Amino acid sequence: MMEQTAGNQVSARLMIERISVLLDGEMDRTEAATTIAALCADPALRRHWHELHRAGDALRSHEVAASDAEDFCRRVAAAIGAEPTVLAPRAAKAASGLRRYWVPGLAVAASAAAVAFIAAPLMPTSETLSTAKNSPPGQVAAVDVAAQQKPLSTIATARGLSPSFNPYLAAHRELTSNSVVPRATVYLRSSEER
Amino acid sequence: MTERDIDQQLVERVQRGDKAAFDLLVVKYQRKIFRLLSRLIRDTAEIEDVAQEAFVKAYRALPNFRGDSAFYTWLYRIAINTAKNYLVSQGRRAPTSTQADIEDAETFDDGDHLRDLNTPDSMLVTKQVAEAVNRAIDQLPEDLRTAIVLRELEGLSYEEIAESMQCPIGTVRSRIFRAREAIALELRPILDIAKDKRW
Repeated sequence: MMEQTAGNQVSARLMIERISVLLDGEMDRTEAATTIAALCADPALRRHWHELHRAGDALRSHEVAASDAEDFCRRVAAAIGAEPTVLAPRAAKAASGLRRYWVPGLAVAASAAAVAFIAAPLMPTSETLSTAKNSPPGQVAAVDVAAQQKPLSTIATARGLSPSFNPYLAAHRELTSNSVVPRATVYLRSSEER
Repeated sequence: MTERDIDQQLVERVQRGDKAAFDLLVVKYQRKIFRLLSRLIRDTAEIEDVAQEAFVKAYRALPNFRGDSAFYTWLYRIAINTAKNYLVSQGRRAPTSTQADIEDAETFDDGDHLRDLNTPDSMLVTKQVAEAVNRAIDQLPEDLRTAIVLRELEGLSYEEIAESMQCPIGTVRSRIFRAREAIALELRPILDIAKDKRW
């Protein structure tokens, strides 16, 4: 029991010594983070932080040390306690080392997936490509034009639709085009239209 | 790590929502802020009010602090602006740049030229602090005294002190700590009693 108490006292003194080292900035980042965490969690350690700083100030300037005001610190702590907790998203992100690596990776993967999702339907199919390959230059465009000019009733029949869909297909024909930016054309305006 | 890095770590903790980390910054800088404000405002109660307002403003503004300047420089600027606004709101003339200015935050020396602002009570406490420090230093063993003087007054790093005293850095750590502890012990009865008789 007594050994345990003595051990606790030694570790407590070691912690106070670490506070002394911390206020000199003579620690590596990890040890400093651990010591700061202990200080933030323990008001008794914060009392040592206060006294050790005061001792250093007293050596450099008696006047500065004489203006010490512990009551003031308590008052400010109460005022800060009444304030909404401040949060800086930048610091919160930096807090998680793991997140720092997987979040950008996930963002890149999501962007790639989005591009693939949007671009895939626009890519020429193997059928189109083989047609293009086997045709002389200029033929593909001609094929598309031919498709556009196909009678509506033929399209409706070919897709197993009732001829009553013909007005609908006529109205949306441009959306079914196989041109390079088929779905975007309806949103494009020439400068003359402005 | 430097002292500035330590402040930055504390700031980052505050930015993650840890208010206790801000208390550590308040404890560390309150004395210097008081001395700075005493160049602009004479009344002790007013200085405390303005200092408190400055710390609260700093806390609110902390999410925007990016660490481009040292925390204490940033804090001093807030304190000076708060004091100037306070004086204007009181219908008093804000001090000119020759008395105290934001640029002073970079080089602010909280030393001798402040004596003319001291009250008799504050001068008494200052005298008692000086006596306590001298007493504590006199009572320290030679190796502790040398270590603390090299650190606090000469500004040497632990490594430089270790070289100078021809001992391991661990010994330097321990000596500086024990010296500080002895001075803190000597100051405790003076400063913990003299709370209402500052400056």
